[in-house]
Amino acid sequence: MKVGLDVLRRFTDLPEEPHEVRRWMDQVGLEVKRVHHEDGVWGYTLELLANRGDHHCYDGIARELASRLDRPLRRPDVTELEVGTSPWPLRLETDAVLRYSATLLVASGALDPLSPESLRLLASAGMQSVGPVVDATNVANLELGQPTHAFDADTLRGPITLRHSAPGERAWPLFTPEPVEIPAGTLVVADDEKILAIAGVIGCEESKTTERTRRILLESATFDPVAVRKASRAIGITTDSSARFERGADPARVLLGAGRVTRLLEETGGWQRSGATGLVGEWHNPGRVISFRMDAARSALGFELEPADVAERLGRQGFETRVEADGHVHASVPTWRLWDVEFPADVYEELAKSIGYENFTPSLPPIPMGSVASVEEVARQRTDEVLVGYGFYEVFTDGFYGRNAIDLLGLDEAHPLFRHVETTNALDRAYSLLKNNCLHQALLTVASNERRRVPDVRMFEWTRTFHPVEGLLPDRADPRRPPCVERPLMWLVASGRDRPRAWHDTSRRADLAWLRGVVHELSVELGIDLEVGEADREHPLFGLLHPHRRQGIVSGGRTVGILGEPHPAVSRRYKLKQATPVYLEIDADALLVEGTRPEWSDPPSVQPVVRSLAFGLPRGVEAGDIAAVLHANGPDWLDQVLIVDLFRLEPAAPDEPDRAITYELRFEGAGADDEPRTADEINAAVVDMVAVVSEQFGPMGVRQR
Amino acid sequence: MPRPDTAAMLAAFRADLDRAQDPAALDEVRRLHTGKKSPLKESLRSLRDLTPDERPVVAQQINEAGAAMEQELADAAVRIEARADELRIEREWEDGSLPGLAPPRGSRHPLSQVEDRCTEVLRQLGFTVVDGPEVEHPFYNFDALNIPEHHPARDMQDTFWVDGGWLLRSHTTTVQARVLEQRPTPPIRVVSKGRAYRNEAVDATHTAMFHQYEGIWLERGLSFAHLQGVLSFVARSLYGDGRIRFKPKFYPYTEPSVGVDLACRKCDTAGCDACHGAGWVTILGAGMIHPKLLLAFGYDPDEVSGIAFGLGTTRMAAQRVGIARSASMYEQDQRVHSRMHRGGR
Repeated sequence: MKVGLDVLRRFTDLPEEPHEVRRWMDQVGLEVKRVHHEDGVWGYTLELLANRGDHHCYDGIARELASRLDRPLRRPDVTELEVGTSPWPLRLETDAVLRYSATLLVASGALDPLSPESLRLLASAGMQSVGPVVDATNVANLELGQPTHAFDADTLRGPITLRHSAPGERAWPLFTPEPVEIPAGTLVVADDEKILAIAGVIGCEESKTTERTRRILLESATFDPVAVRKASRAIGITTDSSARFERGADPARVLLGAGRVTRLLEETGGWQRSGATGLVGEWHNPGRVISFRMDAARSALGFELEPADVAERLGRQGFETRVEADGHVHASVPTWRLWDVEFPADVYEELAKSIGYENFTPSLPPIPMGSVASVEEVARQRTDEVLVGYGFYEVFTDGFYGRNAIDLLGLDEAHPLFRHVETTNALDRAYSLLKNNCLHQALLTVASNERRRVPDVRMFEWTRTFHPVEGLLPDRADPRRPPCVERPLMWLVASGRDRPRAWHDTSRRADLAWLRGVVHELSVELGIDLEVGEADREHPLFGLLHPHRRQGIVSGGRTVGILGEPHPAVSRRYKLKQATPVYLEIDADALLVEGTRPEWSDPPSVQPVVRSLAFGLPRGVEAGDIAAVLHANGPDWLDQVLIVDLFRLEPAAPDEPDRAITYELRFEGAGADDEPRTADEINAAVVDMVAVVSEQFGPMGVRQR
Repeated sequence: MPRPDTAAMLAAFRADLDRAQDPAALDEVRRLHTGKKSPLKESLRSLRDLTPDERPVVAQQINEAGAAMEQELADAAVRIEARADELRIEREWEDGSLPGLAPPRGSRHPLSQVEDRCTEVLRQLGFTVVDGPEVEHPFYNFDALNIPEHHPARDMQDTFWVDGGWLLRSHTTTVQARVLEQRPTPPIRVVSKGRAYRNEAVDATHTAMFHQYEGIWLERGLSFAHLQGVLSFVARSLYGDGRIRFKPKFYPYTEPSVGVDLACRKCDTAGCDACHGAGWVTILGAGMIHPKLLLAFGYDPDEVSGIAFGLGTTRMAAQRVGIARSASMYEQDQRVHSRMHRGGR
C-alpha cells in the first residue's frame, strides 16, 4: 500500500523527519519497503501484515503510530446517517452478511469533483480520479478502511437481495468484456433481474454509475471473510475491497463509511440524501474480553509491567481494560480487532509493540549441553568430501520436471518409471511431474553444459524421488496414506575430463572404470561394504543404460544403486554429441549409516616379493574373475593381486583373446619367523595358481602369455 | 734404493684433482692416486726396501701425503657435489607461470555450507536435526499450523497440489508439526531443513523450489525476551556483530511474531540498491509458538511455551556468494558452480 506523509499527517501528529516516521512505522509492524520523495512530497510503500485488515487505510496506519507515539488521532468529518425505513427495500437471505446498509443519494445540481485534498489523497495511493461518486467511495475506503459501492439506482429493478447464486447464474463483473457464469453458492447482491455485485469483491456493469447517473444507492456492508474469499477465488478477481473483507472488516464501521462517502458528496454541493439509511444484518458486538493474569503477561514477555501500565498501553490501542486486585486483567477487544485478537498471546503482542521490540533485554534461556552430529550427518559429510575431492560440485535440481521427460527417456506404459505423481495446478508445464528418477535431470545437465561448450562436468546431488503407491485411492482425509513413497538418494554425473585441457595433458576422462574407483573410495571412506558387480535387471534404470557399460552396486547383499553410461539411444534423444557421461545413483539409506573402520595390521617388515603373470582373455571373460581366482588359490602369504596393465589385441577369431592382462602378484617376503621366502617356494606357488586359472578358464579361451 | 717422491705424487694428484669436475672423475682420481695400485700404495709397499733409519721418515712423508690426498678429495667431493647441485638446479629451471596440473576439487553447494553453519550454531543450544516428507498432507502444511482453509494466509504460500489432494510442502514447518504430533515431552529442540516449494512465476530472484531452515524450542518458561536472546545469538553467530533489529511480523503459527533485520552491510541502513532502499535486510522470521498450535498438539499454553524461527537459507547463500540472481544457484551450469566456489579462477 502506498501512503503519502502529508496525508498521514492529517490523521495524527508525526515527527518532522520522514525517515524518523519510517523508523516508527517499521517498529509497529508497518514495514516500509520503499521511501518515495517525488515533487517535494514524501511517501512510503508499506507491506502490511496479513492478519491486520484494519491497517489497510490511513486511519488504521495512523492509529498504530498514534498509539506507539502516544499522539492524538484525528478522523475525517462524517455525516451522521439516520437509520430507518429505507426507500429501497433490502432482503437478507444469507447469514454471510454481517451488516448491510443502503443510502439513497440524489443529484441536486452540478456534479463537481471532490475537494483537492481528497484528490490528493487518491493520488497518494497511486489512484486516479474517475468521477466524484467512485472517487468518494475510494477516498472513504482509503481513509477509514470501509469499502463501499455505489449503484446507479435507476438501473435497479425491485428490492436489493443478498443471497447466494443459483446454479448456472451469470454476472457481468466490472472491467470484464462479457457476462460470465459464476459458481453456484457465490455470495451476491442482486435485484429482481440481475446480479448487481459479487458481494465484497466487485460491482457489475449493468448497475455501474456513469456521468449520467442522477440517483445512487450507496452500499456499505461487512461480509463474512470466508464467503468473500471464496467468491473472489471463484471468479478469479481480487480487489482492494476483497482484500479488506477477507481479512475481516469492522462491522461497526458500516455506517461510518457510508457517512463519510455521503459527506464527501454533500461537500461537492451536487448530492443530497433521500430518506433514511436502510440497515439489515444481525451482527451485534460480541464484546470479546480477553482475561489473563499479570504474572502470566510478565512471564510471557520477560518484561516487568505494572497493571496501570498495561491498562494505559492497551487503552491507546482501543482496548478497554479492567484490572482486578488479585492481578487478573480483563481487556475488551475493539471492534476493528475482533478478527485477530483471540488469545492472551494476542494481547501480549500488543503490549510488546507498545513497549517497542527494541526495548526488551534479550536473554538466553538456561542453555543445555550442546548436541552432536548424527550418524547420517557425519556420513553425508564424508561422502561429500570424497566427491568434492574428485572435482564434483553439489547441485540442487527441481523436485519436478515436464512430461517431455517420458519421451526423452523413451518410457512406454509398461516401464516402471512411466507413472508419476502429478501436480494438479502447476503454473509452468515444466513442473507437471514429480520426479521419479534423476537420470533425466543428469542428462539434461550434461546436454545443457555441452551446448555452452563446457564438456567437463562433475555434479552430484542429495535428493529424493517420488513414486506413486500402486492401488492407492486418493484419500484427503487420512494423513497416514500419502500418494507416493519418497526415496532419498544421492546421484552424480561425470562427463569429460577431470580438469580443463592443459599444457601437459594428463587429465583423465570419466568412464565406468573411473566411477568404480569413486565407489571404492566411498566404500573405504565410509567404512561400508559397497561392491560393484552385475547390474540388477529389476532396477528401473537398467534398460536406460548401456548394456555393456552398466553395473550394480550391492551392499549387504542388497542392490542399493546402479552406475553406467546412458544407452546410446537415450543419449541421442538428449542430443548429446561428444559427451559420454557416466551416471551413478545410490540409496541414501545405504550411504548414511555408521561404518566400521578397517582393522589395523602392521605393514610387512621385509620387502614384498613380486611376480608378474600375463593372460590373454577373449571377449566375455572378465579380468577381475581371474584376479579373484588367483587370489583364492594363492598361499596364505599372497598379499595382493593387482591388475597392472591391459593391452588390446586384435583377435583373428571371436574366441581368441582380445586383451592381454598383466597381473602383479605381491607375496609377503618373509614368513612368521622372518625367514625370507625362497625362489623355489614362490615359483611353486605361482605354478599352482596358473594351473588353477588354466583349468578353470582355459576352456573359455584364456591363455597364459 | 731411491726414496719415494711424495712431492711428485702430490703434484700429480693435484693436477688430476683440478681436472675432476664430477663425482665419477673424482672417483677415478681417488682410484688412481689412493687405490691399491696407486703410487702411494706402491711406495708404502717399498718401505721394506729402505734402511731402518730411512723407513720411519719416509713412512711419515707417505702418510702425510696420503692424509693430504684424503682431505683434498673430501674437500673436492663437497665442492663437486655443490657444483653438481648447481648444475642440476640450473638444468631444472621451470616456467613457474604454467598453470598447476592437479585436478581441481569441486565444492559443496553454498546452501549446504550455510545449512551446516546454522546447524553448527544451533547445536551449541542443543538442537538436533529432524527430517520429513516433501509431499505433505494439507493438515501438516496448513491446518495444524493455524492456517485453516480459506484463510488469507494461504495466499502467502501459493501451493503445488499433487494427486490425491496432497501438496508439495510450502515450508519446512511441516516437519515440526509432525514432531509435535508425537507429543514428545519438553524440552524439545529440533531444526528441520530442506526443500520447500511455491507455485509462483519464476524470475531472477524467485524459484519454484527454495530452501528453508526452521527450528522450534518448546519448554516451560520461555519468554519473548528469551526469543530475542536466541535470535540474537543465532544472528550474531552467523553474521558477526552487525546491527540487528526486531520488528513486528505476522506468521499464522506464532504470536507474537518477529522479523529480524540485519543492517545492510553495504549502506549501513542508509538505503542502497543492495537492500532495495530499505537499509535493512531481513534474515529471520520468528515468534512465540501460537497457543492454538500448542493446544492442537495437546500442550497446555499455560504450562509450556515455545520459540519458533525460520531462516531463508536460499537468500543467505546468495548473500554469502554475492550473487544477485539467486535462481542461478539452482541451475546446473558447471560454470556457475565453479565460479561460486573459486570465482573466476
